[in-house]
Amino acid sequence: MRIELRGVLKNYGSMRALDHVKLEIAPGQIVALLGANGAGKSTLLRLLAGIIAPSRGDIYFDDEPFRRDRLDQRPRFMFLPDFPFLFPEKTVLRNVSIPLRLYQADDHGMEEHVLALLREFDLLPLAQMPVAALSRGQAYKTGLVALLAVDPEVWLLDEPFASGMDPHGINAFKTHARAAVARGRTVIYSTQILEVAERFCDRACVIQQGEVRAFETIEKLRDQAADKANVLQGLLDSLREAAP
Amino acid sequence: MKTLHSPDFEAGLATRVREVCRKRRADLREHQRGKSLARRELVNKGGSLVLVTVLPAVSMLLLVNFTDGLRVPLFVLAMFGWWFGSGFVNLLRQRLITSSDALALRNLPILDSQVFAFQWQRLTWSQGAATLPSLVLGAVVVVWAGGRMSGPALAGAVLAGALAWWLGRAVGVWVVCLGWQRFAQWFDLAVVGLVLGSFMPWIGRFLHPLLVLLEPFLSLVVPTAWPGRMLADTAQHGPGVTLLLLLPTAALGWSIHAARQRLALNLQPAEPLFSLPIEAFTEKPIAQDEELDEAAFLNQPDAKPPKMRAGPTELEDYVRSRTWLAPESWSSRGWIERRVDRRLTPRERLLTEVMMPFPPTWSATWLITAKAVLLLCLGGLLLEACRFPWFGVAYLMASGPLLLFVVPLGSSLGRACGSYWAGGATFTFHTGFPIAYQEFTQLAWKIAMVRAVAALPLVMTFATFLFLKYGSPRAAWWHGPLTGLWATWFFLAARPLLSATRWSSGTSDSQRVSFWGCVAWLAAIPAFILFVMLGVLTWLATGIADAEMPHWFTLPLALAAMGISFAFQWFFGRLVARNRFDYTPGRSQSFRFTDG
Repeated sequence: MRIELRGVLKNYGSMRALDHVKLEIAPGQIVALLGANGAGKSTLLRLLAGIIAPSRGDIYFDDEPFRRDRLDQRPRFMFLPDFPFLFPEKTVLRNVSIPLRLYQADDHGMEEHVLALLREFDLLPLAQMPVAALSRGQAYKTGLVALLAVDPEVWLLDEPFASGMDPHGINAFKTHARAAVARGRTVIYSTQILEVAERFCDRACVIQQGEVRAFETIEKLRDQAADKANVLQGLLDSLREAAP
Repeated sequence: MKTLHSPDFEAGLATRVREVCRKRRADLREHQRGKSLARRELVNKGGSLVLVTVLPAVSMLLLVNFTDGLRVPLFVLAMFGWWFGSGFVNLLRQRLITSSDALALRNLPILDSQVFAFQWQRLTWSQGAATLPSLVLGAVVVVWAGGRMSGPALAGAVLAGALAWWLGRAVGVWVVCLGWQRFAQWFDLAVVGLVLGSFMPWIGRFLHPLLVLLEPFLSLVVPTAWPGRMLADTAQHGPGVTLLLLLPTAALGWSIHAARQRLALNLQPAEPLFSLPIEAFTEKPIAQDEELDEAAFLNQPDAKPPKMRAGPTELEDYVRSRTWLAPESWSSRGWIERRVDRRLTPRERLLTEVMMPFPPTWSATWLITAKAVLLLCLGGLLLEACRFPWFGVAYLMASGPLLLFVVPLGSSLGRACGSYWAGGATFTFHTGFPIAYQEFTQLAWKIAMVRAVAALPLVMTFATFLFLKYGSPRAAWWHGPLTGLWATWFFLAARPLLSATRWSSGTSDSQRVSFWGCVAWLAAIPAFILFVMLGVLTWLATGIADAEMPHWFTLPLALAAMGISFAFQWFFGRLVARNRFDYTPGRSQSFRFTDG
């Protein structure tokens, strides 16, 4: 699914969180949203997820304006905040079952896929446990398993690498994301861990004070960078220095 | 006690931050934004303070009649003193357990007892500043209006107001220490109801004689009323036996220290949501009929959910069985639940799983309410036979559960529009899933229809009973059931309006001033007023009020009222469909904590 933001502006009262953002995200790539705290990364993700509405401008999914209430558009993406939407009193399996059915992805054969995912993320022994009894990382994995099972066209993740997941879970997520991108899915995530972003994205979207300052492939950024080892760190530092 | 704040250090730090921020425009902008947010927060707090102090005063003026003497007005004031005390403890619990302060303090190396003492002191000052003056001023106004103004009376009024505040806190703290929170919640609800109800003249007319009748007894039972009772009796008859109330007043006032210590032990901060101990989830044995019910639904007699700590093979078999992909069974499958279930599409049934915080218990509630109404009506008849003058209160009480639990006043789908804390921000729960506004409203309407039909026999019977007792002798018997029919219709017709309002509670339209928020409000206010007006006109057109046959325009009026209700639901839906609102009911943490 091709995503396009045309002059999107978001105000919270007198504060401008995003300033005339123009972006075009082609399908089949991993996009890392980078920037300082309060730069507008989470706002951008929430706009794409339909949680907040643009004050001006519009978002287009395959050239059609995105309306949160349209049931043909909404199931095409899934948003995973750092504390995923879960039913704390329900079991891990129920928390996977509900999104699967809501996204109409509960076809025959799905049970084997879910079983494999539960095993991979060490959740099988916890499958009948209520989510409220799990640790933060395990709860996040539950949300992630639901996302991987649903496999929507666009994956939106807020800080997946600061979610309390163990290294095995993080690696498994990266593997699945790479495979999904190869199938034409789009993965958009925000992070503050530049070392991870440098290795795990096709394009970096750098936001500063609500404006997109860079939206380039890592290779291109590397070509332009003076310090080839710390491309993103150098870029963020130079933007910070140049801030008015 | 050690203070958790260091004013000198904080002032110095603020000055230094200001100096540094001035050097860079971007930093200065952020700094000023934080300051403006802090100012706005202060204005909001000021607004809450005015609400807390002015509303009780206005309602008190409506409830009391100053020609009754001092005792009744002072008793009403004492009720607010108690309410403020209850509010103090609720706020304290909230600050210690669920507030953002609690989260922050839990992560600092501070003893729980110190945190408790800090919050107690902070709340005493802030709540005291908000409520103590209103109680003192109220007592002074009562004495002045009662024509007893003199130096000693004025001093007595000030002391009575202050003591009512102190005793209110003591009662509030003891109520929690003794584990009577539920009672306190009902009391709070009743006072809010009283405040709102007192704006209606007919309720005021009913409550006033009730107050005059019960005050002599209640002012001895309610601790916050003791200072007022002593003041009133002393002002009217000189010092007398009532001053003996000084003893329990002093004892209760003194006991607040002991209660505070007990409360400090009771109010240990709870663990955060994730990682609750597994023991907190006792495995409920599956009832035989429930098991059969689900198995019949799934047509898989062997597919029984394994236990929490089941072995891997059992869990694997269970995952492969696909049972977990079937709709969750409703534990109470009474006659109302079965009828609702039958009318829902598979998608709607799934939505109930998402939107309902708990499986519905409509049938069980219906039955309990029916029993309560029957008992209260029989009680009323018995009191009437004993020539007790206030037997009508029993009938009034019976109408409460009918309205709250049987008539479909709530949508039962509250979780969908509730807020969900997702790390740095609070989102409306339904935003996490592909759920549309029209699905929510349709589902709420379907459920309300079935529940309204189920409510009809009970409401119509109760209305007939009341009609036979109080109705005009000229009226025909069927005016009774017709009244019940009208009442049920009214709440059903209000459902679309209420559904839209419920959805709106999860949006930013009432949180931040915006153009589209104003549009929604400007549409909602006339819609509600028109709906109520048409509802009243429908009532008049039924001819019940003047014991006549229903007029021909009853039906068009009823349809018009429903039309207004559905029109607003549709209009709000258009705003939702055009992405006019944010689904962030609470302000994000980054906003809340930016205080310059």
